[in-house]
Amino acid sequence: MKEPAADATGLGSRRLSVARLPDHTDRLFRAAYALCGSRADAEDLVQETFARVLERPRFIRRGSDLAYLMRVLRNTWVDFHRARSARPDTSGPPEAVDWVVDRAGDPGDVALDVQMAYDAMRDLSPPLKEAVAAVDVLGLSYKDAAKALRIRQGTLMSRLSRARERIAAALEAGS
Amino acid sequence: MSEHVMPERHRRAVEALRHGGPATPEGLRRRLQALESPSPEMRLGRPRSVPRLLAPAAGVAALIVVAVVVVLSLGGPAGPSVVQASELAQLPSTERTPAQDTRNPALLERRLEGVTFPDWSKEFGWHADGARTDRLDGRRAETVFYTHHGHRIGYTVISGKPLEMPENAQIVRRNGLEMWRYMDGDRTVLVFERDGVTCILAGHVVHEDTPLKLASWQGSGAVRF
Repeated sequence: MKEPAADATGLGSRRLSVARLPDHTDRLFRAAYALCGSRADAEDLVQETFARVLERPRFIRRGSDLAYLMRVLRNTWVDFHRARSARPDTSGPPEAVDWVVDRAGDPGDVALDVQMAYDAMRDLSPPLKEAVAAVDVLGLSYKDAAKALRIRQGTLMSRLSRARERIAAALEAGS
Repeated sequence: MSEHVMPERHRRAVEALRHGGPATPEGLRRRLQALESPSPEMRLGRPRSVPRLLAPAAGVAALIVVAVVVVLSLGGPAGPSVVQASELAQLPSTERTPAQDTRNPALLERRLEGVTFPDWSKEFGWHADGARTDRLDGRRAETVFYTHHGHRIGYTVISGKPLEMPENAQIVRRNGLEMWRYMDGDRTVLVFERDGVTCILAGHVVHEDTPLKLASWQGSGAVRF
């Protein structure tokens, strides 16, 4: 990946606006759910992510709000994961989740597929989950997603392809 | 999808993930609204399941508070200056050298606000050599010193909100990390953020590239930014 040119002025940066955080709640919750596979954990993850962002406002590039949030979300998830692996699993049965489809019009097939696709993500390894959450769920470009996850763009695309293949296989098996 | 041609087999999966998903619970929305309010009990405690219904008047008050927070966050410098903090790297160590993290050899057993100091000994030959803890304008600052062939640099992490970057600094990027660099006499000072926390690497080195290499080293993902 080509290294971006140095910006000696810093004029392309600004602070992440607190007022814009609610705009990202839905997408961030979906990404969190994609990573955790549980509603309760996803709620905790989003809440902790927002708390960290609010506690440590920082400069980000224009238009990179989501990429920055994805990075914080991912780092928070890693911390959660570590903390959880160090203590016994006391979680109960998964809580009920309501599913929504954004597109107007029909997408009957999509509606059926949504839950199956998220269910299939539970079986992916963490790196594959992160790739799908960043690109397919959060909607980041490959470039922004790779930057947010601190990996090369080629690595991201490779992981994305493997993840999509497994989710596609699960959808085919379930239909 | 315009970035590359997607195999047809994957399209169905991508459509499902892109256009639908779990609905955001209303309780979460309310807690996030409450988080944006700077009332100490909500900011510090971050209770997970305390629903907070905002009445219209409270909503207006919350908006005012959010506006104040935004204005404050855009305001002038908070806490010590970077120059002040960078001078800690010139002081003697007062604490013993942190041990290597037994679970992760890329890290040391020392961290501040979630930022763990790296272990550069294996990769670059820079060995941790003492540490110190200071307070600057009420902020905790932890410094780990590293040495290599008689040269010494200090890696300082300052708690709390990021510090204002010095105006005379040049911005450089390496491995995706944005850093501010300036010279203080014969010392190179690099300022950057890890997880929203200000870190400063300062010292006299032979090659000007060395601090950039050290600061941006990710240790196979163990050193998080």
